[in-house]
Amino acid sequence: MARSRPGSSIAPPARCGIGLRAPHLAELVEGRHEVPFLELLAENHLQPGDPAAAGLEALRGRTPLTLHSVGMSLGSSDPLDFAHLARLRALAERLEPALVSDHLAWVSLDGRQLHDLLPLPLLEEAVAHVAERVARVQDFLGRRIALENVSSYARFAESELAEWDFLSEIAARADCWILLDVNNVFVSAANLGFAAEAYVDALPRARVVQLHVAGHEREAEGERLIDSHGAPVADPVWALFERALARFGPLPAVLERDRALPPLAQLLDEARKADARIARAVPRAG
Amino acid sequence: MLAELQRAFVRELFGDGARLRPYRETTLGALADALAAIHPVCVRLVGEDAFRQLARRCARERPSRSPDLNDYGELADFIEGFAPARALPYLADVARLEWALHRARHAAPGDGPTILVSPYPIDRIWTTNQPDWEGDTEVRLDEGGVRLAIGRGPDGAGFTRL
Repeated sequence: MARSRPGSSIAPPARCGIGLRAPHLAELVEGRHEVPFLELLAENHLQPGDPAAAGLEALRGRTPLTLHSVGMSLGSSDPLDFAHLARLRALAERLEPALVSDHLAWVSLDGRQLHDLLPLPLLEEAVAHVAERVARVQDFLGRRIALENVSSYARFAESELAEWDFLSEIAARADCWILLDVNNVFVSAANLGFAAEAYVDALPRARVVQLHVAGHEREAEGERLIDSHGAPVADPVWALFERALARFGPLPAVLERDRALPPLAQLLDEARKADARIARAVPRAG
Repeated sequence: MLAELQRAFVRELFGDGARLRPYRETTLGALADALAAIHPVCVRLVGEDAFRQLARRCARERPSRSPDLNDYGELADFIEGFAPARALPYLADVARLEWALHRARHAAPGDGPTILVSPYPIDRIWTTNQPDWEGDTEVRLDEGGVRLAIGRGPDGAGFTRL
């Protein structure tokens, strides 16, 4: 079974870090800003001559790092891509991140990479399939990983489970952690018509180890919410973030921003809004 | 059943229905964005709108095969088969130069250069289409072909005429 490993010598504090984006790297390396921790998108750093390598080396050891993958395709019916997993493992060995995570989604099929986090049919068959793959990935990486819920824009008519039960059951069977993205919960709840609060309230306390928070936007043609990471965090998402902190206690969180990237100082200001909420959260007993 | 449901999902994703449109936009958008980022000179030569159309068509017809998006972006062969681009016969070779520069930026230090041969002066086309270029912008297509070595030096990726 998967081993739990301390990973980096510095674990992320119960504060809000940010996702590292290339335009901010040089300023982060200069070190004028206090940054609780950085989440790296793993697939940005797998090339043999990764242009960010020197910057990451400078940051490693003074800022805790976590590694977030979008490429394991844990929900795909394709075989696991062990060549890709080997590259991820080598990166993790080099950077010693405190956490490695990927998504409850599929990103590839029949060898074609879709580069989007596609939703799963919420079926018992998929629970068994994903749990077995997560367990194999954990064995291969030699560490427990965290599985993140994604935003959904459509559902499979064949689904027979609530998504929170689907995720909880996979986490239990695979013995993995959960990375709870409250913006994704909010977006999916709005698009598919369920109560976002019910999702947060149903997840097992012992498995949720980190939170994500981000901004969303409405789709250009239509009514759906899109997880664009292109806007400030919306008020109802902050409310859901607080609800998660009340349930799970003060946890490390990451503010994700990809589109319309603001200057670093402005992004860190928004992360401090999350920090203030984490600081008010009451540690849970046991 | 999972594989069948996923295959049906991908077919619908690449169709034109509204239900999976957000996924279509992300998938094609990610690849088209990657192509535009790798080929700024080609974008400038054909214009942003025309490049976007070309890039989205390429994204549909030439799928990504690597989970690492940095591995995607070879556009030249697609351009050669793309009828609207025939008016710019040098475009495919400019794309080859930009792709070679992209690969050089991500190559391991010490990797040898890539050699590119073209009947067009693509190095001059590239140089005169840089945003900070202030010299003469006229390039005569019949001024002669080039043999270029593209690689990564101490100042980053670049090329020299052989």
